[in-house]
Amino acid sequence: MNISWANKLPIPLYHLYYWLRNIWHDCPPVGWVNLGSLGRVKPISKDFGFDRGLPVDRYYIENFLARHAKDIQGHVLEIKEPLYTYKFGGDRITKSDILHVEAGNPKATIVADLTNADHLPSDTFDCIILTQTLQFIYDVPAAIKTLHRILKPGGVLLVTVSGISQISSEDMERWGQYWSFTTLSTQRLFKEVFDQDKVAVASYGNVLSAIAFLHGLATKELEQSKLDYHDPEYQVLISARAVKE
Amino acid sequence: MNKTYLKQLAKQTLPSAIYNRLGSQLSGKEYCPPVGKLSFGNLRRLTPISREFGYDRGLPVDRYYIENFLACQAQDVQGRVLEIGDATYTRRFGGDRITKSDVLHVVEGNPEATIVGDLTTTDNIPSEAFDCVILTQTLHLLYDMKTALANLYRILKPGGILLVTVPGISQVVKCDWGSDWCWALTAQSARLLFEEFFPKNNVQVETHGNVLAAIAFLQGLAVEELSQEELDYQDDEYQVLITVRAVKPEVA
Repeated sequence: MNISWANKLPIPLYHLYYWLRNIWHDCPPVGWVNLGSLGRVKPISKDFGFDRGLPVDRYYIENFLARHAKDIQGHVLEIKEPLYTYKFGGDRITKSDILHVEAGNPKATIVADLTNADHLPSDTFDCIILTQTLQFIYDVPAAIKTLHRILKPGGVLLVTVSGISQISSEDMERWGQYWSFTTLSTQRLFKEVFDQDKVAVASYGNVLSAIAFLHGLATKELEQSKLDYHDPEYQVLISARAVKE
Repeated sequence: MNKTYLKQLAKQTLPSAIYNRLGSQLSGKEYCPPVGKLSFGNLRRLTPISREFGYDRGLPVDRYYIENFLACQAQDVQGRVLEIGDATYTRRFGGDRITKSDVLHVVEGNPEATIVGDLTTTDNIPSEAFDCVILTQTLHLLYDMKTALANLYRILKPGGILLVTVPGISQVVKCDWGSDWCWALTAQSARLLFEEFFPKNNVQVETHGNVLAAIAFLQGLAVEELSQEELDYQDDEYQVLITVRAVKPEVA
């Protein structure tokens, strides 16, 4: 914004100008809110922002996994495709498995429904990466029980679920989309199966990143400092790290 | 041929912003500002304009959908009616069809409450007592929604009606009810959840909202700041509010 003319004002007027401007910005009166390009009933991108760059939720997911990269080692299970196993596990991976709920996915090494998976062997994986999956499962507690069972003792479960989010009609029709979570429900869901002090839950996002995500804007359209501000009332993404005792 | 020539000419001579806008006008598609050309207006801010859902500016966006839903179902609000917290909607939509109005509250100390109890634990609410139960923006605060629904089913008279609203896309605000915010539902989970207790044909689920209503709600803007057309545009991918009407069968 070019406000160089304001710099030429006498000092008291200059301060007054900024004072009023900040008040206006902090709380624009009813009827005076400028919605910019966002005042539209259809989103800018229908595709979570993949067509514009890295979606906002992926930024938070990848930050979470990068922070816990050392957990991604040994025998690792991921869902649908090995998106993050090698990206964050690198040569710490000894064996990579991919689970998919339907047969016919060429990348899948295991076909199973996590809510009904008695055929999966117990105590198998050193790490399970489960990003953005639980919202498509109606019976979430049953899925968490399975995940706990198939982890090795000392194995680590890295989970992300969505909070404030649009839902794609494709996902709705194909898998069913059931839940958005909060830190509170995530904590309680995992505490029912894992030891309380082995579960760490965090939330990511703020009102700006939530709005950007809903409109399908990309990460590069916001400054990093704006993405990294976390407001617990605006949970765009929730992560959980749980260790089997 | 002529058309493509004109298009090329326009592209070469007009500034790109004007060209893009003109193009989207002519093709009937809404203009999508490319990366870097987008304006956030007053919304490029890390804290919302209002932290109180917009109550300090007017009627919150979710209340618009809640009240529209209840107005449509007003004929169901009759006889003995139970509401949570206070009896505002019972009085407003039931009027003189109400024979007895009850208010349930989870903790003691609410002067309007006629029953103190927690929907997920207590059995002190009488069975088969109510013609209508109004449950707005409450179910998502209960971790154990299924027990609450079993209780709600139990306390309805045969033929009684349960009117429920739950949030979809929403900020998560701490409240002083003892319980706290656990879930956001979708039309699909609401349907499956209610069908565990009510017969399939007795459950009606609807969604309300769109991306604009969602961002206005997140910022805490009021209904007065959007047009009715904008509020009423419904986009299933942006579920700001989910409403459920469920009827207990006459014969179990």
